[in-house]
Amino acid sequence: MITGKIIIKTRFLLCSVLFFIATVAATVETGESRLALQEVMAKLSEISSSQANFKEIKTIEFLKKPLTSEGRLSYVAPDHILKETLKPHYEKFEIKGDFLHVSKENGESHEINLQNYPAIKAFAEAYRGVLGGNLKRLEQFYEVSFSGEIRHWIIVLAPKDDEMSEYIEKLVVEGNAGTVTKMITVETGGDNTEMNIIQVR
Amino acid sequence: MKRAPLLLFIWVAVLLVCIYIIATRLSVSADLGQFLPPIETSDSTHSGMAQSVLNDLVQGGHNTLIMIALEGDNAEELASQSRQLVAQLEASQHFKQVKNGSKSVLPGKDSLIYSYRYLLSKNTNPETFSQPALKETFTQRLDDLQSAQGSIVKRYLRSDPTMETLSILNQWRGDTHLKKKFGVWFDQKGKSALILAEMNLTGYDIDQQEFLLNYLETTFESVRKQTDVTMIYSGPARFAVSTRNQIRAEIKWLSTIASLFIVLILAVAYRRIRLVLLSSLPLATALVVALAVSTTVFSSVHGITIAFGMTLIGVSIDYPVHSFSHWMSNESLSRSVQKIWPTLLLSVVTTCLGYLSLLLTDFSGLKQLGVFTIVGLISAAFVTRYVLPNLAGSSGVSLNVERCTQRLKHRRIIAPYIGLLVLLISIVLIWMIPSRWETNLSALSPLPEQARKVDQHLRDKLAVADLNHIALIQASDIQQLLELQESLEPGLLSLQKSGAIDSFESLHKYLPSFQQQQRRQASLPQSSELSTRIIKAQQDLPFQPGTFKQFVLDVSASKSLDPIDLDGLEKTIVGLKLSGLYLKNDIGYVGLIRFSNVTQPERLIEWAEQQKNSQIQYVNIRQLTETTLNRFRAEAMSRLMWGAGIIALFLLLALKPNRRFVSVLATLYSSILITLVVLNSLGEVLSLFHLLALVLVAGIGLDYSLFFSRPDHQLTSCCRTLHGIVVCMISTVSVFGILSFSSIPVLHAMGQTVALGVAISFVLSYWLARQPVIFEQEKL
Repeated sequence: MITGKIIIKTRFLLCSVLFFIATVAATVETGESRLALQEVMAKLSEISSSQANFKEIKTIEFLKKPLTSEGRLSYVAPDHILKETLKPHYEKFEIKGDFLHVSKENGESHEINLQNYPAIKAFAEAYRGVLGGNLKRLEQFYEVSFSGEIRHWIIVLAPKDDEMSEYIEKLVVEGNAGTVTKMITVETGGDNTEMNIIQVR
Repeated sequence: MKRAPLLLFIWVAVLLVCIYIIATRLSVSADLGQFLPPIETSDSTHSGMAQSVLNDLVQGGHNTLIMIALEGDNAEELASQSRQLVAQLEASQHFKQVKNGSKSVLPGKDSLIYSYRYLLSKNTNPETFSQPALKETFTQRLDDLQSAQGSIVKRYLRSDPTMETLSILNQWRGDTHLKKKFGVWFDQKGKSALILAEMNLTGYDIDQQEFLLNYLETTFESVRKQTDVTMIYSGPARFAVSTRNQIRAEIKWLSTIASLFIVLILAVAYRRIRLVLLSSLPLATALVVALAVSTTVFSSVHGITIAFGMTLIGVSIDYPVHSFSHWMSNESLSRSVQKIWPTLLLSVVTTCLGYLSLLLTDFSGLKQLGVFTIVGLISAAFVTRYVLPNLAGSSGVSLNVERCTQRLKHRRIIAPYIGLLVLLISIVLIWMIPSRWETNLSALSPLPEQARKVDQHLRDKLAVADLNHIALIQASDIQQLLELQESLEPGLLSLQKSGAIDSFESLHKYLPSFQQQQRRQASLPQSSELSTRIIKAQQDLPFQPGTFKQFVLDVSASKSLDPIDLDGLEKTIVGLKLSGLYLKNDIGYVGLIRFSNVTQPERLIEWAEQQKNSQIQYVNIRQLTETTLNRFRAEAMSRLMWGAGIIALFLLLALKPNRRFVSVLATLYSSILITLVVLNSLGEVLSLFHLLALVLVAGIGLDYSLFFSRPDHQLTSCCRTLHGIVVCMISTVSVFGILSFSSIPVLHAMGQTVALGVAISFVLSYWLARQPVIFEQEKL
């Protein structure tokens, strides 16, 4: 009985030590990348408006070939994003404040309040958080991790919201200093959408 | 004297048996529907339906819905507290469902809606599954995948390419769409976070309801912590609990004050503790025996019967008072009671005859009240006659009758024709100042105005329909009901199209009949056939072979599903809506089709009449309650008239057509009429409770005038009669005067009417019914 107790105690001690070491290590690592992340965010936040063209490649498991589309993107700080798909079908996707406005080629249009759709809201916040360099806002919705360096950085966003993580595993945003060059949406289940962004202005 | 111990023994034994019956068998019901008359409509099936609906409306007892609003802070804080509250309530098992809109609206693949989608959806027909339609669907979905809602579409695409699950949800959601902020329901102004909860109740049990409401409040306290957030909530349970608690609290302090008053008055009148205590025995016995007999006769005693009955037999406190006032020091109480017994008995029997008319009504609430009161009054009289004399001791009550004698001597006696004149004047007055009668059912409810306002406010916010315009459909079972409703659908849609109504809610919109579900199953293609069509349809489209394998499997599985029934659907997200769309009655099920924004009610009436099936009735609830209450009034009025007639007839037999008979009757009728006139001129809106109070006034007035008109042969005895009646009057007026201060409409109406009526009865009977015999004798 006594031996048993001692073994349990030792194990517990060992576990605590390991845990402590792991925590310290993590802190050191995040500490460093944190600074870089903050630097990138500062650069991003300097930009008050931007225009770009995009090409999107959607890879879906049950489709023989990826779906591609292209169009224009524009951003005006702090929260106005316009995505116009020109090919293969026209679609306008506009987020302003709490509202998402979608209109299609055939004239169909919807306006939805993002508050009603937490998953879509989180998605919109990803765009807005990155483009506006607002780390605080991003962290409200995502676990944010950073790698790379200022010339070529990669930010990975893992959704905190359960409902959103049903759909989306992570968002990977790549960039160069204050410019976003690529956004990859990895869906739960493995399908992904890669959006390459070419800055116009 | 030998009889004394035996009588006491019998009395104690009866009391014990009664207490035993009450303790073991009493069940109190709170169904106000029992107190209302049956609804009368053009034919009997209709009235049965309407009756069930009205009962359900009035009692709301089985409705377990609670509407909750959180207010008083910024939206973000409110939303977060709304989520916490919902999570905790859901975890507790006390609630069947708690909703604040935060749950994912998309049903999972394990949900009932998903597995029954082809049986529930309107779109299930051969056309949907044809090859060209499938090709169009697939092409459309391909576009959808690239659009904003791509991820949602993808989730269902492989097994549900026609998106039936989503279209069912859209159908069900209907027009009522609550606004959301921070992911939870808010009102239109965005000031209050809204929650709907359904309690897990096992029957109608107020204690359980109170427990759950307390649980809700303590849970909210733990969620709200130090913030300024406040919670308001309402629902039938809230009403039931607060009604009971308010009545309890008010009755507690009112009865405390009233008892103190009575004790004080009796103590001043008789200056003996023993008599004060003894005077409560007839009333106490009456309560116990009346309750026990009602319990035995009826399966359950209505709460209102007990409350009213107690006030009605409260008059029996007068019996010992009369006895004590007549108890002269040189004789035993037994002897004095014997002397007044003929008058007392006459008063009791006449009053009971008045109540007898209540027994002949066709609604059980009033019947109960009749039985309760008659039994109570008779037992009180017997206790006064046979029990009190054995407990009262031997020394009588000495009264200083000197001043009274002087006063009586100098009073002029009024001739009987003056009495008739007063009666005539009161008839003219009542004709000139007509009564206003309450036609609003909710005014009968003991709830304070404020509680009703909160309820309406929350209903508006949460878009919980309130019943006003409905069509009722009687069916023997749910399937028959659904089939009937399905056959009505085209007519209803054209009413909607023409703008006569804005929209309608009906059970069949959510739950198709078995027949309908089976028709849909039959229209689903065989899996080999479907597979072939899919292969052809997806040619030239980039879908991998086998993409829609699950779709084929699901369609094939749907063909062999057992149709979904009410129990199944109640477990889904529409469960809350369903409960308000049907109810059970003796014949089977009544379906409620609820109309919103009815602009042309006459079109609805026309529509209902056109239906060949006579099981349909359009009801305007407001009108229905009005006519019901009017009928009730007419019924109660005619009972009272009968009662008045019976009393007159009996008195005629008992007293012979003499001066006393005329004066007693004139006093009785005029005091009731004058009371009514005063109430009318005060602008009181009269209700059921005023009428019942008038019955009590009649009983007391009768008592006073019979005693005042007793043929007395001694001046002192005459003074003792006056003393007794004055004590009775002061105590009754003060007790009911106290009741009139109650905020509960019932008690207020009772108190006001009785206090007023008794005062008037006293004045009139003193003035009109006085017996002049002794003075004539003295003059001799």
